[in-house]
Amino acid sequence: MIALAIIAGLIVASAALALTRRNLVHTSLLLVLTWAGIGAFYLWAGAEFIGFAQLLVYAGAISMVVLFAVLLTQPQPDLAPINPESHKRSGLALIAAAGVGAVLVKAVLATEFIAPATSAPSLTVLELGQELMGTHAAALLIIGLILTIALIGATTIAAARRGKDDT
Amino acid sequence: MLLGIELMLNAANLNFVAFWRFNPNPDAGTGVIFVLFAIAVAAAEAAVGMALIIAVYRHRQSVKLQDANALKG
Repeated sequence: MIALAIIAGLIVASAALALTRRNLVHTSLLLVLTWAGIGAFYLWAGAEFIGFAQLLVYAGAISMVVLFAVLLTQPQPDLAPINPESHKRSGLALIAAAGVGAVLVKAVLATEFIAPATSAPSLTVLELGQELMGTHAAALLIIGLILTIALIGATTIAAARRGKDDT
Repeated sequence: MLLGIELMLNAANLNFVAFWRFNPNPDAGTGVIFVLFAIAVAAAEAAVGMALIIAVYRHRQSVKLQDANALKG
């Protein structure tokens, strides 16, 4: 339980800090910390495969993509002043978030929990693979197709104008 | 904004794993498999999003969302 508290505190603190920074590089570095914390939570919960996938995909790959995008678009250090309209909007957002939070807390308090499994459910990589290739084979194929199309599309979008207006 | 979307997807995955961990029927691996697929889709979305940001930046020399209002009615 203490480990869970530490992990949760790390996740919440780094995420909250990341969203208040106005420097994008600081934000992305703090988000790497958040993603690593979430990976640690998966390890704690007994989902080792997901934990390592999270570490590889988020803390490894997506953080690199984010950092490259930030660095490629960075050279405008003028931190734009926050216009008054967005202050008004943040007030509305706080009200909406408080409403949603109240509904969720009420729902959680009203739920009767059946006795949880005392030991962590064990799911070996073998079982995971069999389930992926058996029950979920179609979904796996579609996911592969989506990833391929998305990567080709991303490359096309990012590289399209290179010859014409690379000023 | 894109980073916010990533955080929300992560929160959903967190819930999936938590409910999978504490559910009374631990044989089903559905939660873990759903999280795997969600991570894959999130990775694709991040790649496309960053490519779009770079394309918009190359076009307008700015990444401020307030400036990218060419489609505003």
